Amino acid sequence: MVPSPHSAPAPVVAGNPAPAAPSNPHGESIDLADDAILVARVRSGDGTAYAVLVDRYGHRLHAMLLHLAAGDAELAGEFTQEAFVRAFANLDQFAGRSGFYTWLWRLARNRAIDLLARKRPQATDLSTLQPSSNAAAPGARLEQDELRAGVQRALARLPIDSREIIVLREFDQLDYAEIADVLDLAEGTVKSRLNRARAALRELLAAEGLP
Amino acid sequence: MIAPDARPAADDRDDLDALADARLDGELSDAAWATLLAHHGDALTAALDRCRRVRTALATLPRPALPDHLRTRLLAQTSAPAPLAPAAALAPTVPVTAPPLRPVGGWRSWLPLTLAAGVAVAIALPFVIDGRIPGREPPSTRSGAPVGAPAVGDVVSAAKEAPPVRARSRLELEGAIDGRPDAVVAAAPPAAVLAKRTQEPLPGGAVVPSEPFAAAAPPQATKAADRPPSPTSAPVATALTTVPAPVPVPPPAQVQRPTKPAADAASAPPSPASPLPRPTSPMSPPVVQSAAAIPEPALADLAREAAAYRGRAGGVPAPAVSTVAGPVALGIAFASAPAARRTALRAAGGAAGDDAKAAASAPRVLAPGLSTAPTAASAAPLAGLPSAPPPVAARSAPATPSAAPKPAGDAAPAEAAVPPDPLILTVTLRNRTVAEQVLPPGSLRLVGLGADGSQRWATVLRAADTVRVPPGGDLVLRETVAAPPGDAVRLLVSLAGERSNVLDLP
Repeated sequence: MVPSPHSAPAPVVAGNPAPAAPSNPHGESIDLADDAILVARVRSGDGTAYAVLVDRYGHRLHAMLLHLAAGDAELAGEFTQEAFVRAFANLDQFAGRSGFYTWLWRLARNRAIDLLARKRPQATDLSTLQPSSNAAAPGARLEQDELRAGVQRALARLPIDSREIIVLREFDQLDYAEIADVLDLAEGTVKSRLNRARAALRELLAAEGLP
Repeated sequence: MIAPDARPAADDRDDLDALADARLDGELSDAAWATLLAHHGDALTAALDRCRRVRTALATLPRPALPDHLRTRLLAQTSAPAPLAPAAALAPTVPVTAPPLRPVGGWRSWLPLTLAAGVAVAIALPFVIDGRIPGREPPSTRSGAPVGAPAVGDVVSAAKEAPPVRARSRLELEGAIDGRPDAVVAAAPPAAVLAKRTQEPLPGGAVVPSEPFAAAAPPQATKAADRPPSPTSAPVATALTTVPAPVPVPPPAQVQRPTKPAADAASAPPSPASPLPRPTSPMSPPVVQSAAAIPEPALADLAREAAAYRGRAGGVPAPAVSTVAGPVALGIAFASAPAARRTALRAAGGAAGDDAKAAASAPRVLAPGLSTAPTAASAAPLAGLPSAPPPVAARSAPATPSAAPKPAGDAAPAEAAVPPDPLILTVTLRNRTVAEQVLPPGSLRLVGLGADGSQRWATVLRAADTVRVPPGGDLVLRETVAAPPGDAVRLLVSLAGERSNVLDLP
């Protein structure tokens, strides 16, 4: 049952790491814990709930699409925008059986994979971007930076399906079940594909003299 | 579960990396991993470290934040308040990507578009050229007879015979007086359909009876060209054509006294030669208005003009000027007036002179879009006038052809008065509409203004001609008129409330 925006608001989950719960134009606090509630509020015309979804998953989706597009920021932006627009347009098709992000990624990848299979992404130097985590010592940091750059180059040279599954697994930290859900594959298939993708990546890294 | 010695002969590095990945994925138990370590030694430990570093590198790849402009776009595209129905709320926000414009259907898609564009351009082009807006014209007045059907007072005999005009051709046109060709631009009816003039004499000065110019204008001789006299033909009052000739007597209903003041026209059958406004629509063919349907404003205009005539330089206001662009744009300018011609004019006792005689011997050639036909005045004998009426001077009895009309108020005999030099003017008419404009005889007037801007004098141009201006065409009339009285310092051409530029007299 889809709750009405004017019905009793869902309780706010304490300790939610998401930003503070904003309020919609009606003055109601928005439940950030449940994507289904947010989706229901968006369906009912609550623009604030949609903004919450964008803030919650926009960064993640954009980063994923950036690496999927081999660092082509322009393509990543287009894919991100199209994914959210399609999600907004087809929000009534979101059944809630999977997570909103999983559903959103599926919408994004369908378009991105189709386009990237035909269009070579424009190379982008990702070295200018700050790594997501860099807590190592200065010497080790340099080595990590070199490895990271090599991994980025090797990742960009991987086939799109291998690149996707590695990004989903290693970058987005999805487990096999989630990857299987996103790619609509069996977990065994996901493992085998992931092993092949890793082997291909290792070959590429070895060709560059990296470990 | 992978056995420690499952693939001992395989590629060491790849196998060790695969074992390390399996360990990192939690697929190898501690016991199995210990067995593998015991078997492969430090190589497996190095492989495990290598895989961990690669994974760390992958996990620490840059995670750029969502660009602000992208976030703004995302929120802006869906910021419109959605209605209660989700489908209806979401539909308008979907960016519709227009398909590339391409000839999907070939001619099936392009041909209608091309035709539609052509039709639109064809419709809009005349208005763009004329700078007019359709709908500003007064509605077309259809009164009495339908288009093409002659009504009482209409002059349509020649017009009915005229085929559609052809634009942008030139044809020599005889002037009404001097026989000189008028420059006609824009329409050229075939010679076979050129209007024919009546051979009857046309008394002059009838329309402007009280003006000095009319009195000073000597009788002119204008012979008709090649058409036998019509049973309805009659003398036409004009200040410039005054050759006497016998004319048949028309039915009494068509009799119109040319010297009748315009103010009396309200109670009398209106004359088709009167300068009545002819409302026309740019999108409809012009309608020659019958005499029975003269609108009240036109009668009032007639009354005002008649008062001006009677007052004779009495300082009456100038003709009213329409602020709305009319169907025909008027212009007036000087043309040269040779001295020899003035002599000839005086010798001939009129403005036509031997040019008119020469013109009378030649077939009447009219310009395209300009046809002359016997007016109602010419078709209706003037009651009380002789069959060959001489020019009528202002407030005077019909004068004889030999006697030059004397200026009104001037007691000196006409023979003693020296006519002032005639003026040769160029009158331009531009049809701003997309329909042919028919200017009835007598509708085109030359007005003299005093220094104070008031009307001091007026005469009718083309009193016997039905002037037809083709759609979008220009018509240039060369008019030779006697000089206006001295108190008239400026000239203009008036047509149904519209007037041309003001021409300062030297």
